[in-house]
Amino acid sequence: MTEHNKWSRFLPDKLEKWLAGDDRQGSDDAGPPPGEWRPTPDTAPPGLSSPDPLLTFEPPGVEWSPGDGSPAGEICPVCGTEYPEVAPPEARCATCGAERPSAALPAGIADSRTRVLDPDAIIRPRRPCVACGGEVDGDGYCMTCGAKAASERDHFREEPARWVGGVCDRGNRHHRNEDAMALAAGQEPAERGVLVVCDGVSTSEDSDVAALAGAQAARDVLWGNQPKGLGTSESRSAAMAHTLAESCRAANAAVVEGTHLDSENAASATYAAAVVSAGRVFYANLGDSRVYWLPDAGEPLQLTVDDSVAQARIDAGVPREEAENGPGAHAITKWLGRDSSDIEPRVGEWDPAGPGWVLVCSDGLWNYASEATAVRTVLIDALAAAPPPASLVDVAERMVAWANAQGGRDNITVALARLGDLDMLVEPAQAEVTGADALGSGPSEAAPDGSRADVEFVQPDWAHAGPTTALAPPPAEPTTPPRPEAGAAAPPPGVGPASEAPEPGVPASGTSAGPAAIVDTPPPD
Amino acid sequence: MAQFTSTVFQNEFLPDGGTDVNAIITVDCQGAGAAGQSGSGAVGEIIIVDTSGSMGEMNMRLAKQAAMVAVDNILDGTWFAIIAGNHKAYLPYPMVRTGTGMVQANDITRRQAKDAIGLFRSDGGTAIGAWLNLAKALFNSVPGLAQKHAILLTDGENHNETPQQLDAAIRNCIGQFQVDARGIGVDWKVEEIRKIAQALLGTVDIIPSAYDMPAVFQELMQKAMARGVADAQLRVWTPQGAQILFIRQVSPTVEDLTQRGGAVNPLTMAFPTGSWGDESRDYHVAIRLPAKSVGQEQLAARVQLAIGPDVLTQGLVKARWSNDPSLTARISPEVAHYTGQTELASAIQEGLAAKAAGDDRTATTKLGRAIQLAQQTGNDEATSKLRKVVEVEDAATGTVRLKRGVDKADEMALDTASTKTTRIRG
Repeated sequence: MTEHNKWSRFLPDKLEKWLAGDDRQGSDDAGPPPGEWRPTPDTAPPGLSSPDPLLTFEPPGVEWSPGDGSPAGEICPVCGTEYPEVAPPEARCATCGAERPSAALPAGIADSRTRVLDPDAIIRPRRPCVACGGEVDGDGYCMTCGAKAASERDHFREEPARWVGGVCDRGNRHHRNEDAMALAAGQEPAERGVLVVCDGVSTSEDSDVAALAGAQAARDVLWGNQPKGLGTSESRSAAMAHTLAESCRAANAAVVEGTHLDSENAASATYAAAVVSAGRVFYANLGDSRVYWLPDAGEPLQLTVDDSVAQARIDAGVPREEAENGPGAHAITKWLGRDSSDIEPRVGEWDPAGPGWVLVCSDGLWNYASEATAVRTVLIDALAAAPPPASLVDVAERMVAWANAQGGRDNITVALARLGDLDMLVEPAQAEVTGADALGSGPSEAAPDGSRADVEFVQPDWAHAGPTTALAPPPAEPTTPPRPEAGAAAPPPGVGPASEAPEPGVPASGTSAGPAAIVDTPPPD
Repeated sequence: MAQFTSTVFQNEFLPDGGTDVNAIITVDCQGAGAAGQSGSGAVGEIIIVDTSGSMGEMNMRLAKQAAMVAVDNILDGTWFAIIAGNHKAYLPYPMVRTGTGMVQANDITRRQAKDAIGLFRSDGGTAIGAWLNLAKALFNSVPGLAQKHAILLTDGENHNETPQQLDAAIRNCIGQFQVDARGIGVDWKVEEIRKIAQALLGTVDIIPSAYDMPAVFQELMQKAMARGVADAQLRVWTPQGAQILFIRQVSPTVEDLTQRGGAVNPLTMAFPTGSWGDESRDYHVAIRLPAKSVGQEQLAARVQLAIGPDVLTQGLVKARWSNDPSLTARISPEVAHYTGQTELASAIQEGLAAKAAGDDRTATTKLGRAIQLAQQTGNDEATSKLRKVVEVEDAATGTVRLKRGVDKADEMALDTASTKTTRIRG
């Protein structure tokens, strides 16, 4: 239950107490925020795209069909009994004993976690050259321009559902892509989605393999263990916190497993995950990969708080821009891997008050747009630039291309989930909307799309407020370190409106004092 | 069937803005089998013996003996002929005036050939171009010869032809057959014979003592008969927009191939390498690419060995741009070694040419540099041959003095050996 305790300390209704420096008192008795719990439809998405065809991930229960009213869960083909939702899934029907057709899937998933990837094996030689369109030879290089054929590992896309998609890219400067991404989603928008990003530490060995294994392992846990059935918001939050921590441990196990025993420089990676469940966003992170909430209207937020030297300096009062560009700015203080001592992620949840975007990204993106407002500008420009009909992956591609255009000094991962209508992707008029103002006054009502009937967004009062009055954690101004005992000093700016907002989440802060250790991840100059 | 393998030695890392990629590709051939025995086509051998008046009685006698030994080493079934050359080219064997000018080796034809060689008399001048032209005509009189090779022995300058006539004959024979040329005595010109051997994918050397001739001919013919791969090509693919700076064979000898290529397709050049036995050869490839940004990787060249349309082995020469000086500053030891050996070859040749022209100052500088390079690259043969031509004061700094009264044969031996390289490995 330690996870529960830790989790409840940072529930939104604790925000004021925490800000008031009253965190230690009665941290366990306060209940989770009120909120209506809606059962999650047990719909499973179709198989997911995956960077390696051999690693194709198919979550349990692939028999999803849209809108036919049939039971969403997988049914025994012999007797028609629905398989119980347990993890790991049962291999045989409990009623008739017949072998489950998808029984092999969990084993496959386990394999995908532990298998050591051969980067060369991922190269698919017969794809046209990305540089010149020429034919690629069996040796992995273009027969015209000689460019190395892009391996699936260097640049891959995932789009498990229309409303969830992402791109993971090597960038310009690095020799390989040590970022990794693993997504899963049901087809019903905003109901059930998982976004995991791991950023392999470039100074460690095999971190490209480790990061991908870690991201997929975390995704598998998060997808397979979402809260089911009726429950209170409290139990649901606690369960999700538990699951997020568990997914982090699973990711760590996969990273460790992929590390050669005799490796002197054990593979390591960051971890950032967002789970969308019935319109709510649960998130967790370790290291400096981030989760942002970028609403159509209102102030965008960085939900996660980095475990980095830069963040420690920000906490100590150094301006963000200076801290994030100063010496050791890219050193992280927590990571996954054999040599990691602390793999407990910071977890939090956020209840969106209107339509918007969940962005999970690596520092390859936020290096060039750290502030949430800056990231949203990048997103808006990408929306405008992606010619309709565009998909989320197209938007993510635009954002990756933008980061590459800024230099692409690091690997870049952009994973997006759209909470709300998807109209801006297909309506030319909407796609041309640019600028925060245009979006800020955009429609916030639920889309006519029937699929969103059960997701009611209430427009909060502060949604139209100016940026200066909106919640903008983490504070850019010199302010209190996120330590409870020091939290009494001053509340961060913009807290007032936040307290009026209906159940705003707050980025959870670590409880440990300064960095325990530092892993250098210097970007190339 | 012969097995070809290749290994690439290079530092693929280029600094930001770097454009030039250097690599050594070792191509190894195993299981070549005997000439004409592996189904790769019929083999032709021609023995060309200088019978000019300058040969004199003793050289002529030993040359005849050498030619007979060579005939004895021709494998059964091999098409062969003997040419006797002075200011004209004669066909002493087979004794035909027209039609097929070669016969297949067996006990009877070898006996007849040796009888014909026994009748040689030294008389007349020297017209090597005419000998080559006759050899070409003889090879062409046998349909379907896949592997054509000649051994050429001479003792003097090409007095009875203009250099233009000889060049025309050489051009006429390029790609037609291979020639291993040997000089006896000190009256022949290394430069002249080297030109023939290089153009016709063969070797050049001096036979310092006439008594060595039979052994040299035996070895030459045995080697020729052990080349089971008739004809192979070195193919070099380079990306669009790239420039081939040079392609050199650097082992066993230095041969610049750059200008010898023919286009297979717009991006691929093919360079003739002749026949192969069980051996390995090293090639130095230098390619200039448009610089790419740091972090990019691309292929600079595909270096292949092909027989006909079949590519038997391929080495990949890569380029990766990096801003890590510890990666980009390193020079491949193989590239450095052969760059030094190539410079050694030209330093020796230029030094000897300057010495012959009376330019002692240039000769001293060049040969000093040569002894320095020979020392650095561990070329003991070059070092010992250089020491016969110069007094070495300090090999490390290349300080030498020209020797007085140097034996002409030693100079010529140094000259012919200049292109022989040592390997860094082994």
